Amino acid sequence: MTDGENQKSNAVVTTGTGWERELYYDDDLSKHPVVRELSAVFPDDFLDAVRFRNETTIYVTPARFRDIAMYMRDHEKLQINFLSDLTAVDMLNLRTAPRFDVTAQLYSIPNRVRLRMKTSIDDGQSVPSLVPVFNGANWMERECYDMFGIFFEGHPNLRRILLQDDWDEGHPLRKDYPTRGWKDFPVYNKERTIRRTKTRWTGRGV
Amino acid sequence: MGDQPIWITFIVTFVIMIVLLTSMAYTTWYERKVLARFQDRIGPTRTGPAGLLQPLADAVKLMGKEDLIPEAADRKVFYFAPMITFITAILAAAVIPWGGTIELFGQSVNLYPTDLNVGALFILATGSIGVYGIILGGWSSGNRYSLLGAIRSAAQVISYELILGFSLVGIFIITGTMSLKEIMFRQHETISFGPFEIANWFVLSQPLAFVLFVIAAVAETNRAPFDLPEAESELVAGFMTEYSAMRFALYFLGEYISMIIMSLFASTLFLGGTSGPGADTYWPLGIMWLVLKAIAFLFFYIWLRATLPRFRFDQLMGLAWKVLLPLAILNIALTAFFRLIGNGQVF
Amino acid sequence: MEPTKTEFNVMESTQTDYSGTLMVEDEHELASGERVMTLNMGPQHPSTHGVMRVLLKLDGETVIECDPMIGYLHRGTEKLSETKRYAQIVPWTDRLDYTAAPQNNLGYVLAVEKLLGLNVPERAQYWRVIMVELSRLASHLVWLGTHALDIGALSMSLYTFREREMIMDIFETFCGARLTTNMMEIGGFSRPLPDTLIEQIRNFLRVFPNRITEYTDLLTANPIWLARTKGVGVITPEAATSYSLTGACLRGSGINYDIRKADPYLVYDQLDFEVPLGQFGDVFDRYLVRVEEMRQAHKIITQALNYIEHDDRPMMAYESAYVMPPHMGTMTTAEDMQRHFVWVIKGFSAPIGEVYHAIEHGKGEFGIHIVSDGGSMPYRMRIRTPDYVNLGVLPHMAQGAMLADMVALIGTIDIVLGSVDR
Repeated sequence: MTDGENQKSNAVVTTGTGWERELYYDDDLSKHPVVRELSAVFPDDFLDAVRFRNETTIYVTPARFRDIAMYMRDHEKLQINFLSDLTAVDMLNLRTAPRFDVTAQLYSIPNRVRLRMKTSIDDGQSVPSLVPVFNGANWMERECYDMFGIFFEGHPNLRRILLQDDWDEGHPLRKDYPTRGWKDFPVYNKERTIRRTKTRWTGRGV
Repeated sequence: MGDQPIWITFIVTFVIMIVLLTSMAYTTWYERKVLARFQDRIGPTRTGPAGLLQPLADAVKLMGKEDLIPEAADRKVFYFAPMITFITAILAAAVIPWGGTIELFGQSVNLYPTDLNVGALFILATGSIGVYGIILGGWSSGNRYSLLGAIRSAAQVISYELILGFSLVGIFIITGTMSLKEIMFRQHETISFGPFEIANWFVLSQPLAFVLFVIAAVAETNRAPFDLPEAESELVAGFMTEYSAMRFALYFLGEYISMIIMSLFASTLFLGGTSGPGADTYWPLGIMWLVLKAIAFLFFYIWLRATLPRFRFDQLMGLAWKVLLPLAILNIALTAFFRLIGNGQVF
Repeated sequence: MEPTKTEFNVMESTQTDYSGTLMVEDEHELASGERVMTLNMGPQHPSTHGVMRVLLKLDGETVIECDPMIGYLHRGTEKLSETKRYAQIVPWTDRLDYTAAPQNNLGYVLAVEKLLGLNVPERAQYWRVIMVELSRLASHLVWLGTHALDIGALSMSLYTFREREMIMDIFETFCGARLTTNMMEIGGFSRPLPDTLIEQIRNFLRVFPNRITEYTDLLTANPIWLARTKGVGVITPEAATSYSLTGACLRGSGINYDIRKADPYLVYDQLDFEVPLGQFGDVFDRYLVRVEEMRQAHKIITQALNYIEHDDRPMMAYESAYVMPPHMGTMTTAEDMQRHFVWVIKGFSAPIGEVYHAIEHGKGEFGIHIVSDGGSMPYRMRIRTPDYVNLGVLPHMAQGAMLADMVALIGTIDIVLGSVDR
C-alpha cells in the first residue's frame, strides 16, 4: 500500500459539503466541524472553543468527557480516532477553581486534523476514563493519576506507573509540590499528607 | 594393539590431557579472534603478542574471583554440578584416536588412550551425562532463569542426542564396528573414482548423515544458533546465571572441551581422522591433519555463531523431531538397503 | 492454593476503591493443576534495553500475562522544565531518548517556536532536516543492532554501531557533542557550519546504502530470523490505532500516519520521500518498515544536502527578543553582547497560550505540549514520548507469546528507557 492510495481511500473530504479540511483551520470557529457538531449534539456539555496558533481547543464538561470523545471517534465524518496524548495541567497559580485541566490531544488520522479537548475538574473530583474509547489512554491516565492524583472513573487498573508503588509524598506535578521534593521540608515529612498505599501487581496484564 | 606397557598409556594420556587443556584455553582465544574478524574488530591484542596470553589472564582473573553461592541454592549439588560437566567432557577424549601404533624409542606406542569397541557410543554417553551437570546446576541455583535454562537443556539434549546417535548408525552399518580407531582406519583406504584415487571418507558415502551430525553436534554442545540453555538475551546466562569464579569457568571450559571433542569426533567419523597426504608414512603428519580438520570445524562453529540468530524453543524442538529425525531414519534405511544390495542379500 | 490476604491501605478516593481485587498470588494454580511461574524480567536484564522490569506469568515457556513496570529512570523532566527558562530546557530534552537527541531537541524547539510565532530561515530548516534524519538513522541503527542481538544475531550490533559511529562523528563535527547533542537552538542555528561537515556527510551517504544491503542480506533472507519474527507480536490496525501507537509500530500494521506527510513541519513538504507501510503488523513487518525508513532517510538527507550545500544565507531568525544573538556579534559588538546577557540571564517572556507540537521521531510521535502563563519558563510542559505510549501495547502483544518472543517484542517496540521514564 503506498502513501497516496491510503489517504485517498480513507479521505472523507469532498468539496462543498461542509467537511473540508480547510474548515478545521478556518478563522471563524463556528465553521469548525467539531464545534458545529458538538454544539448541536451536546449543547449543554460543549462549553467553549479556543483557537491559538492554528490549534483548536474545545472545553467540555467532565461528566460527558468520555461520551464526547466516543461520539467524535464514531462519527462518520469527524473520525477523530486517535488519542495522541492525555495529560493534565494544574491551574493552581492561574485561577482559583476548578483546579485541574485534563487535556486530551486528539487526532483524526483520515482527516489529518488535531484537536485538543479539555475539561476542568476540582481536586478529588474524577473524570470518566477514556480507556473504553482508546486503549492507549490506559497508561496516559495512569501517569496522570501518578503525577496529579486525578482519578479516572472506570479505569481498569489505576495505580502509579512512573513513581514507585509506595511513593508517599503525593503527586509531583502538582504546583504545590516542591521541585526538589518534600525531603527539604522535615516538618512536612512528619505528617504525611497522603496515606501510604500499597499497590501490587494486578494480574490483569494491563 | 592394547598390549603396550601401562606406563606408556599413562604417558600418552597425560600428554593428550595437557594438550587438550591447553588447546581448550586457546580455543577461547581462537574464538575471540575469529569472531572479532567476523565483526569488524581485531579482538584481544593487549595480552602478549596478538593477545596470545589472554587465556592465561582470563584464568588468573577467574581464579581470583569470589566464589558466590546464592542463599537459595542447594549447596552440595551446586558444588558438584560444574564438575560433572567438566569431567565428562574431558573423559570423552579417551577414545579419540590420534593415529595407529607407532615405534618410538624402540617402544611400540599406541596414539590413543584406549580403543573401546563401543567408542562412538562412549562419546555419546559422556555427552548425555555431561548434561546432568547443566540440569543439576540450573536446578540447584534456586534461580528461575537457571531453572528454565536447565529444562531447555534437558529437552534439547534428549532430542538432539537421538539425532546424533541416529546419524552415526549409517557408518556403523558400513563398517560393522563402533571402535573409532577402526572406523578411522577404514577411511584411510582409497577408492577409485573414475581416473582419480580419492580417500574413502564417510562424508562422501554418508553426506546426509554428515549434515545431520553437524547440526546435532552444534545443538549438543549448546552453541549458537542452538544456545538456548544459556540464551543471554532471554535467560541472562541460563543455567550459569548464579555461577561465578572457577565454577563458572568449569562450565565454560566444559563447553569448549565439548566443542573440541565434537570437532575431533566429527573429523574422525566423517573426514577420515588422521587421513591425509603422507599420514600413513609419517605419523606427525596424521596428527596435523586431524588438528587441521578440527580447527576447520571450530571455525565453522564460530562462523555459525557470528551469522545466525537464535532459534526459539518450540522451533528448536520442531526442527529436531519433525525434520531431522525423519531424515536420520531415512538415512539409516537407505544405508541398510544399499548395504544389503552390496552383500547380495536383496536381489 | 488459597490466596493469602495482604493488608494494605485503600487509597483515599472519593469514587471507587481502585486498589481492591488486585492480588493474583505469586504462584496460583492453572486449570490443569500446574502452577504458574512468576518470572521477574529486569530491571537488570540484558534485553530490556535499560532499566525496565517486566513481570511475567509463565505457563511453561508461554507467557500468560505480562506487566511492564517502568519508572526506574524517571527524572521528572516535566517538573524540572517548570523551573527552567525556555532555552535551558533544550539540554534536558537530550536525555529523553538519548539515542536520538537531535530529534528531541527539534520537537522541543519547534513547539517553542510555535508558541513564540517564530519563523526560522529556510537554510536552518534544511540543516535541521539533515541533522534530524541523521539522528533518525542513528536511532534506527541502534534499534536494529540491539533488536537483532536480542534475537541472537550477534554480529549485527557491531555492524550497525560501525555506521552509527560515523553519524556520531558528524554530530561531533557539527555541534561538538556526540550523544547529548543540545544541537537545536530556538530560532535556528547561531554558529557557522564547520568546514569539513559536508564532506563528512557525503562520505557517510556514499557508504551507507551498501551497508543497509549488508544488514538485509544477513537478516531478511535468514530462515531463522524469519521464523523468529514472522507472525510474532501481531498488532491489528484497529488495535494499533486504539493503543495510540505511532511510528513504525503503527505503520507496520498498515496505517499510514507519518507526521512528516500528514502534518508537515520544517521543509518535509518540499522533499520527496515515501512512507513505508507494513501488511501484517508483526515483528518482521516493523523490521522491514524501519529498514525502509533508513533508506528513505538516506534519500531525504541526499536531497536536502544537494539543495542547501552551497547556500550561505543566515541560519538564525531575526526576532531579537527570542533568539540568541549571533555568535560573532556577541564577541564584537556591545549591543549584541547586552542582548546575549539578557537572553541568557533573564530569558524571554513567551506569549500566553498553549501549543502542542508533534514531530515524527524515529520511534513515533514525539509531542511537546507547552502551557505558557506569559513568563520566561513554561507553566507546564508535557512531553509525549512515543515509546512510553507504544510500550503500553506490550501486554496486549505478549499474551500467548513464548518467553523468547518477549525479547523480540520488547525490541520491536523500540524503547529507550530514558524516553519512556522521562
